[in-house]
Amino acid sequence: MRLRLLGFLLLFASAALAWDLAAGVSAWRAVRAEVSRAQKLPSGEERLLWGKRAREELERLETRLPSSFDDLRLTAYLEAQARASGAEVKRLRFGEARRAGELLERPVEILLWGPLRSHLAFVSALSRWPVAFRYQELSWEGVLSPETVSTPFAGRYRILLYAHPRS
Amino acid sequence: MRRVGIELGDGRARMVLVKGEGERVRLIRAEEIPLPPRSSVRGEVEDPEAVGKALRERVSAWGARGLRARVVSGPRTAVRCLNVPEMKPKELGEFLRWQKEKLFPFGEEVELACRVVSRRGGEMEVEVAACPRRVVERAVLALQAAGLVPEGVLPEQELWPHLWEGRGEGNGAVLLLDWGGEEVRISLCSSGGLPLGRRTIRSLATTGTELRRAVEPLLMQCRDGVGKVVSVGEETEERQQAAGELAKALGAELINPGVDPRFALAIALASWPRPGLNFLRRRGKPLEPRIIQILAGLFFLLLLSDLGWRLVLYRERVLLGPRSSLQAELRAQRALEELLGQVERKKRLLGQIGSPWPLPQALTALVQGMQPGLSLEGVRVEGEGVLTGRGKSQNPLLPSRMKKHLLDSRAFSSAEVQVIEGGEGGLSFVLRAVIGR
Repeated sequence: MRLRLLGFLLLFASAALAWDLAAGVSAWRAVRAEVSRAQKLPSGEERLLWGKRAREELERLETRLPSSFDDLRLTAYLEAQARASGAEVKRLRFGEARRAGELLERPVEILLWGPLRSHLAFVSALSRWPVAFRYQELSWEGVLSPETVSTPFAGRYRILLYAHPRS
Repeated sequence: MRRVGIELGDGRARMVLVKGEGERVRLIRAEEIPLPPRSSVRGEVEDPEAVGKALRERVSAWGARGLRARVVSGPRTAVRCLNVPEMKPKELGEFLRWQKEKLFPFGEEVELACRVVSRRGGEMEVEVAACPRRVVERAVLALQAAGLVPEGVLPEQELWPHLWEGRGEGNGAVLLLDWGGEEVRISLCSSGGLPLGRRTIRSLATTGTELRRAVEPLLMQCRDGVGKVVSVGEETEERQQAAGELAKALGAELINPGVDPRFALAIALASWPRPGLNFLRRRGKPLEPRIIQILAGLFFLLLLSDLGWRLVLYRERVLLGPRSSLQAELRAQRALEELLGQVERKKRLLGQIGSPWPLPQALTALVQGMQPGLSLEGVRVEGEGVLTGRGKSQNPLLPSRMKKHLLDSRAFSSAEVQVIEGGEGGLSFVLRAVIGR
């Protein structure tokens, strides 16, 4: 009886030790993996530099993809660009925002009045715009010839603005 | 596997140590051990402690501590053969429990052991042995006190066939003469060891005639006659002569086992592979000492391995520099990876929108392509980058030149001019050009 009890005790203790050993091996492997990974990490200075670049890039991207549409700011920017181009914004109309995948899409229609050079300058200014957008349509109403380059005419611009509401 | 067999007598025990079982048995040690006075009487243990102490010295000297051991149950053991209806082992046990007072009127608690000999026609032949429980318990205590593991307490009758196994021919009954100091125990049994009768003659000098007279009542139990007479115990020349006369009178073969029959019994006891009748059977089979040794070895091996791992882990975690700085670095790395992930995600979203096509360059190229005498109205650019407009030209060559200029500017991938009408005042045409390379 005593032998049997001793046998069961030894068996149980062996099983417990085996379990503990397996846990120890697993912990050791985890530690080794951690150390190995840490050894492959870039240095602190490199990481700081990468982090700075990444933050700047993220800031730039977040400016291009705002979380919402700020009508006042957009209007002010477009009017300022038009003035700088030598044209005048006759009408500015924002459409309703709608979903486009993860993004919000909103149409903007601008009616610009000015000579040919101001139209070209305005289009160039839009292309340099930091806000994410896409041309939808433009139409010039007027006669375009070397003789009428300085004559003001109306141009209608439709663009789609984008925002990322989760950011 | 090693095993110890012990046969207890008056004041003496024959102990053997064998290796192996059945036919592959090898005798390692055999010794007759004197026991303290009155500690063992007529093959029964009276003082287990004293017997155990006497045996323990030899057990230690043989290196046999912890080995399994079997012992003979002693002369107060009865064996009976029963014919019962066929039943399950559990039912048989229940039946015997109810019938034991009737079958074995010992007047005290008995231990039973049984074995099914044969099954035939809904009936089975069962051999049942009984021994006073006190005898079994004391034998077990003596073995434990000797440092052995009790494995069996076997009836002597179970071992008898070993004494005449392979000696002579014939199927007749066997008459066993066991010579004691002042007595002779006569047992008649079948060749398989099944007891048929038993009696004891108390006399210092016994002749063949006396033996014949004593055997007569027993022969009534035996239909086939006696085939063998086995003479064992403390033999003298007179006793051998008396046994020879008895064998001659019965027309049987006289067998003298040669070795001390008590040792032969002890060897048979230790080497029997699977005893059929064992008073200890119900108590379960003890664990093999070797299994215990293996388990202990495994335990210590695992213990050492575990301690080793603990040391390695301690070295990794504590001695190999401060872990906190590593953790901080890993945290910083994770934060950087998260930041880079956000950048990638934003870029992917911007990629969905697509870059604005080169509208300013296209319009500039269009304006530069306007020659004197050429005018364009209703200029329209749609989302896909298709520019359309209606034009007038005073010179029929100007639209073609304009087309060439647009293509040369590389701001347009294609340009088409379709003339609608011509006349003296000039011609009208439609321009269609696709922006982009």
